Amino acid sequence: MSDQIYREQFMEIYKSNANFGQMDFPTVTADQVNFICGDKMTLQLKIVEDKVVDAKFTGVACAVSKTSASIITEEIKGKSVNDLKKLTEQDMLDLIKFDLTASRQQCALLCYHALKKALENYGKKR
Amino acid sequence: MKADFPILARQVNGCDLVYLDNSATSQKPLQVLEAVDEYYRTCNSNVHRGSHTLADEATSRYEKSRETVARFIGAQKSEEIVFVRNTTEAINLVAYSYAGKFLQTGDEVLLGIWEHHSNLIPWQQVCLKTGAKLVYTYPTKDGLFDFNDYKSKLNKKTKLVAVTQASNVLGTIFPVKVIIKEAKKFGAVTVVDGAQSTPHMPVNVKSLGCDFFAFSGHKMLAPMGIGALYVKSDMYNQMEPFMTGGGMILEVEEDKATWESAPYKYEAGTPNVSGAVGLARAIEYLQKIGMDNIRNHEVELNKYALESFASSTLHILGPTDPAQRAGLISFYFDGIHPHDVSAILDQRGVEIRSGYHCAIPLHLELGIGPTCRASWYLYNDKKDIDALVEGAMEAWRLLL
Repeated sequence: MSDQIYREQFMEIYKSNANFGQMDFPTVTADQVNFICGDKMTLQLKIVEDKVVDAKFTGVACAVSKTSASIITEEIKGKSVNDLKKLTEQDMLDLIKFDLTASRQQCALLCYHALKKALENYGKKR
Repeated sequence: MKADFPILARQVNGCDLVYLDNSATSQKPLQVLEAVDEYYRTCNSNVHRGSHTLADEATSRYEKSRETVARFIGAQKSEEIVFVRNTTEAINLVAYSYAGKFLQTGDEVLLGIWEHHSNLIPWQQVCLKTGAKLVYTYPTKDGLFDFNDYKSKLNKKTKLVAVTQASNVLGTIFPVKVIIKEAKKFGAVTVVDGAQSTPHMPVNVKSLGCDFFAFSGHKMLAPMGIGALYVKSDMYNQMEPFMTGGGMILEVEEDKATWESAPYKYEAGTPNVSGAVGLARAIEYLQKIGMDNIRNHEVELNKYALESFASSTLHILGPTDPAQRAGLISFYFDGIHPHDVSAILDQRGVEIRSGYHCAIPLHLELGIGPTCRASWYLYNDKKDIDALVEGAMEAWRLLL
């Protein structure tokens, strides 16, 4: 891991707790386990007319997965389900920008994998 | 002593390496590296079946290593040692070759909730297959062995008791001799996971009275991929082969085969000869220092670490008495994820483990999330503990 990671910008987002918590009556929910460490994240989406209008996450999460989840959940608000389905792992890493080792990339992508699952669940639901 | 371990001279993230992940695996001294190197340079060959000089030499080295292992853990004869890859394979061997053959519905298998997955999942799976019931014993609040709980769960249906000698999370050293004695009152077969004890303290399987004892070489200065299973010799006649193929047969026809005698019956395929040579050399290295001295050194470090952490806000798992602990401490801070603590320590060159340490049922039982674990060995010193404590407190200040 780069020694840059726990710096100001990162810590600011980490301590903001942005989108950390639960919502009432989500449209879809998905759990995702980080296979490296066993940590689990739950992502909730509120979707109106195929557009994500709110996103929240909870779970046992390290600073990297929590901070990344804050960034990702903020980014997806207002986006259409179809656009979100096109997102790749690399898009997410480019968005998060922090310099991460391969194992910490899995932490950063935990929310993204939960998002993929949530979108699948949404597809099935419809 | 650090000079014997080349890796300890390297830097990590611009800092001197402080290696405190010895419960996961130990580093290797030059003496072991050279023994493996010398084996390949001078007498590498396949064992047992060849009739040339190199085959004889390699076989002799392999069997001498078996004798060294047998003496080290107090087995009566070298035939009682089966070479395996690691503790996990050793325990699976017992589960498949022995327990899976005789367990049936109504039988019970008793183990500690603190067991490493390698001494838990094989039993869980063998119970699912045979219909036997898996029963857990739980520790006291202080992380010690709870004899009342254990005795209340032992009964004539208990066919097998599997327990670790030292917990890789709590650090607790369990009173295995007494545990076995109680199990024997009900005729239960006993399996001891020695992965965290064998590298760090004197072990004697005869004195313990166990039927099976498993350990890994890589946690005790030897290469990865070599470990041993002790099988009390009268257990062999109740066991079937684990894997079949070359090296373990006596006679083969088109539609049937007969087996070699133990331990070869349980060592199908080309074994890890260089690993066995490395393990024997590691044992010689440890014995030269003395297992009692290693144990005393680690108790000293336990004491120092517990004192150093005493004033801080972190939670430490397991017994408070340094002498009741193996050389490791698992800890956590409220509201801080252990991966972040270990990542910040890593930036300072201090390598510890974070996560569930392959003991998820224990963490669930304790009602806690993942933890940090720092574990020491013969080459660690108080300066290493200082680096750990400073780094952990830095992480706490940064992340709180």
